[in-house]
Amino acid sequence: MASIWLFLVFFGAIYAKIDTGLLGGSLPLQNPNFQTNGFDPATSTFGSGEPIAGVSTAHWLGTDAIARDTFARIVHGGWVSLVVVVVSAGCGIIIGGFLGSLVGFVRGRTETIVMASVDVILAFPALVLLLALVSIFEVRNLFVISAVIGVLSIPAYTRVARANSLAVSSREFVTAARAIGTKPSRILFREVIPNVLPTLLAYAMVAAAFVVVVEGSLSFLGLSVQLPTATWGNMINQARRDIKINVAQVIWPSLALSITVLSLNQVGDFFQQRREVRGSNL
Amino acid sequence: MGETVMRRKGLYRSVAFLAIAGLIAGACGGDDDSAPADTPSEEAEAPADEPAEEPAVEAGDVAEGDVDTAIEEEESTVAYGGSISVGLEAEATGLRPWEDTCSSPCYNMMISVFDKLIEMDVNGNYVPYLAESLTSNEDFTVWTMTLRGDVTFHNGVELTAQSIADMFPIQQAGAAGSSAIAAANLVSVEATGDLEVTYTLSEGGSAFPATLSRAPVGFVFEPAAAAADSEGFSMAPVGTGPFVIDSRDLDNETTFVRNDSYWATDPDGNALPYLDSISFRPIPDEGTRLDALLSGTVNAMQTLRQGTIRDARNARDEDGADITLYEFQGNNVGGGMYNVLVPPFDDVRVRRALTHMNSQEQVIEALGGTGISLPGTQWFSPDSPWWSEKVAEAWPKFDFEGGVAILTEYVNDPERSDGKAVGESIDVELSCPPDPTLIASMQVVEQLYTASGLVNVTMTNYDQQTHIGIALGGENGFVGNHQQHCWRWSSDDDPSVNLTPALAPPTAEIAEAIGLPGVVSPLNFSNWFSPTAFQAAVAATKTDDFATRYGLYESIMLEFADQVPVYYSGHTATAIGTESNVLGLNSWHVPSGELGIGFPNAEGRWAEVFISS
Amino acid sequence: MGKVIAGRLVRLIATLLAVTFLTFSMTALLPGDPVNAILGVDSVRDPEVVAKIRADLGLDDPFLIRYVNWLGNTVTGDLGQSYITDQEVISTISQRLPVTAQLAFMAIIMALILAIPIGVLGAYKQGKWQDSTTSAGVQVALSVPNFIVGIFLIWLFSVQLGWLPASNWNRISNDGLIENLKTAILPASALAMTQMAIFSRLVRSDMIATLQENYILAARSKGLSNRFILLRHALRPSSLSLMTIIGINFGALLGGTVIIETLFAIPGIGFRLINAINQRDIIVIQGITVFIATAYVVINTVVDLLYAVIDPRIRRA
Repeated sequence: MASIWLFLVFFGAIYAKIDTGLLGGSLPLQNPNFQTNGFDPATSTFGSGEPIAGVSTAHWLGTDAIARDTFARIVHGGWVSLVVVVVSAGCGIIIGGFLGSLVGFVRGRTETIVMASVDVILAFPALVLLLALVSIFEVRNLFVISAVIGVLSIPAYTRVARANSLAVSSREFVTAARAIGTKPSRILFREVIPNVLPTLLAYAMVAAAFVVVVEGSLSFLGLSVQLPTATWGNMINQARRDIKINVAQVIWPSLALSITVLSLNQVGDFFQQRREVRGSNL
Repeated sequence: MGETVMRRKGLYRSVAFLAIAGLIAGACGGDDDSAPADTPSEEAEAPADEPAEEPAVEAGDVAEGDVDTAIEEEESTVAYGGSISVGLEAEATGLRPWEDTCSSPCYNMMISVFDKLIEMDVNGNYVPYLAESLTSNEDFTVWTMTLRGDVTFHNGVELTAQSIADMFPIQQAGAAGSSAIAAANLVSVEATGDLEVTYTLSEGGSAFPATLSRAPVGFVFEPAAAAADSEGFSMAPVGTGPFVIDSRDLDNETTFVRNDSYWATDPDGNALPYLDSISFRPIPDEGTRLDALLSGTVNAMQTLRQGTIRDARNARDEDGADITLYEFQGNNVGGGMYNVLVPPFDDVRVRRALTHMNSQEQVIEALGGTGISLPGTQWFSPDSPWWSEKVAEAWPKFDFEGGVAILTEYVNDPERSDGKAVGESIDVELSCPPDPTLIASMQVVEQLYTASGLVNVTMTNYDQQTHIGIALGGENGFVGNHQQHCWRWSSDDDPSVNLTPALAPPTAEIAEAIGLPGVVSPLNFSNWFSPTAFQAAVAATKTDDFATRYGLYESIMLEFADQVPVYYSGHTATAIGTESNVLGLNSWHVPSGELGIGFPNAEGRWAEVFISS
Repeated sequence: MGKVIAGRLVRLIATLLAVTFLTFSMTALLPGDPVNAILGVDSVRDPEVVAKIRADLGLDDPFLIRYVNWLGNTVTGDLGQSYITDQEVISTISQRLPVTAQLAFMAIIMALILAIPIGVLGAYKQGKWQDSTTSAGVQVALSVPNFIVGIFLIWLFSVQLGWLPASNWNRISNDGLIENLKTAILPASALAMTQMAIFSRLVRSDMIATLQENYILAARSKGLSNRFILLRHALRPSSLSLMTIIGINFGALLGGTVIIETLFAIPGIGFRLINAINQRDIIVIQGITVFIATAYVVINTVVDLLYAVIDPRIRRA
């Protein structure tokens, strides 16, 4: 169930993205930024769309305050979440994973320094640090947001990777490799990292749920990507103003966000039980 | 509650002024002809620039405050006592008139604790309030004010002419005060008698009373307390107003209690204020603030957003919420500006084309203001005495094809100012603060521009502070980095207050070029400078003849329509919503007994507010 | 033991130094001239005034000197003064801390009241329908972001039912406990949801582990009642790990209330932080971030130490 939903949401977002970008909108999906009550230069008339409309065959989930199709916006809204999740997992696994594996393997002073800096960043409550960082940027686009979240993901991955790297490094096959004089770098890449990686991937699932919530919160506070890009968080924030007229417009993006987080948690739990990872919080 | 539609004048006439039953014997009745609204005020020695004297101003009777939501006042009796809580859209930065920039929410607080020297009456005239009279010499350079006697500050200090004179150096040093003083060309304030104050202006200004009717210069504070501890004053302000500060819990609740020795009375001679206490609570979220009123968490709230007014109307009309809406269609007009020093906006064709392509109607719908907010064609609303039919006709209306045609001409001009190749789209950065309604309206404009195929639009939103900072552009000689920027124009003050600085030379170079070195106005946000418009604005401050002034302002607005440095969405509707037993916002008086202006820009005067039983 | 404490304290101080440095360098990077923010819109910019403000705030000094000066002041409790409201940051914090702390505290209490029975039930009926239903509910509670919970709580209890206020805060000192609770209950519930999920999962898994321990089996064989075993023997060991997580989460909640405070317009620390970010009130952003981070680090260290005191097995670490 959970993976089906995730597949639908993320595949939908990717497909919608490609579709509007390359195929010129061949999908039955509408343009997420098209105002159906807007002016059409071709006919010199205003569209007949209703703002804040309810469910209908034309608009499966109704329309928002400027008469855009809510269903299309929800599908497209998954894109930002997806990018942020992928970037943060990428940064975390590649940089954090490498750093953690490295220091867990070589130990010594490097380890002390790296882990001390990791501890400092983890010493901040995540959201407060994120807010403070995000507020530095005047222009916030998808690149900035995912980069900031990505960078902030590194310490937690580093910690997880180090713990696993420590364990792996004391295993018999690593000791054996050392004994026969294999180069340390070769051991690191051939033995340690491949064994740490599955754990990191499992952790990435758990972290993804957190990252989706964090991006949603930023969007909700208006501190995420620029408009008119749809995100679930900014849809909730914008629809909230009309909650008395049509509460459904708040419900749809809230459901999309919550079900996605729920699914990520489920999948994460599944992998975690498999891998027995104990990651610290982001 | 029932609803009838009436113009404000009629409304005021019908409002019942009742005495305090049970307290005062012989109270006069509700529809009594002696209702003060009909009594012309003879004693008010208002400055002579009052629009009401002019024939054109029959419309002015309903100016500035056309309330199309009607309030049918039941015959009710004013009563003493009780407390109310008012939800505001923001916390006041501070309560120091000379220092803190004060907008609508802050005004509601300041006016409770400070009195203004000059007020505006129902007809839009500037009339004495804490002052007793204000007169000027021939060329409006020297103004003589007589203060009301027997007034004491909340700390027991007596108000004298010297207090006003002592306020001046503090105001000069204050962030808000210094610029207002500079704008009014005020150079000295002297006590020339026990209660007589003489203001000297370096440059004559017929609209000087307007300066004394607003923050930062118009509010009277106790100068010794202010000088002693400026920061402390913000938390414990001392004025002569109807309420005395009781506690100030920042971002949560500021409470004022009744000033038992307040000087003002209602027209029947009963001591004011009626309420025992009033508290103000900042609730920044529009929806939450309205909910707070509907659920009784607060007894009143103010809003400057059309969408909130729409929701409040729905709650009242459809859900039967027992609230009263005091709506005000102000002279404030929303919209934005083009930075005319930045290509391609330096070409009037681009500005004109973009304005033609901008559908006001659709923007207002996105703002939630359909049926609430009137489309704008000039700085003045149709109810204002300054409104001009000619300007309304001259303003470039929505005409998409027309706009595209003009823009095509620019785009195909080999000499086009943005240096791009012939046929290439122009780049426009559209920027608004991150309010959901503004964001919605911005997206409407974006879609319209994009539909032309001639414009690449980037949308940005910066928080309020950054947004203003960009427009001020202090870092690059006040040019600013903005292109097309959301903004609000005008106010219910005399036009000179906002218009003159907006027309003054925007940069040092321009000032130099026209022979006015040093006269640089950072408040010319669109950076558009026209010698004729600026001269007209200055000329309008040299006369108090309404017809002459009207003509000058009309000529400026016509030039706006021709040169399009700014564009408009709709006039800003504002409102104060109250529980229906909270009365009196629309029926307070100036000392002469004439009715006051009401509740412009959702700035309520709370001294005569009462809770009906 | 003394060595453990000393070691932790040294680490605490090192971390705090690093945390303050990071915060300071972050906010010093903010774009836009803070002088703009101080002078506001209406002011005519006088270069002399601008220069004076820059000098007052030491904006022209080298970065490290500014950091050292600032740190010196911070240690003595002087977090500076807001550029915009002129209020002392430390008094801003002390005025707002009780509000945020109360919310965090209430959220944790409410979460515990729900979480313990749910967790115990889940563990006791492990694998049965009671367990799967509560586990599913807990999963959902864990997945709905707190601002969404908040919006719908407002919609239901304030807008539709009109039972509770939609926003704001009544202080106990002014309005009494009842009025205070009326304003606190909705935001605290929104915050409690996630905590409840975390706690009950912990209680459940801990308890499942304990129930398999020998002494429980022994107690069972002695014929002790189930309830007695559950509460007396099985819940006890769980309380240790609960305590840890409560400590950590309390620290995190101090910062995590940001969105909920903004949504409900509650005058806590988080709401002030958001306002400061929007106004680019650098001194306040700095002060609050440093305060929250310090509180978080200190609370975590204290929890660590307490844990070491209570459970000797940890001491070796």
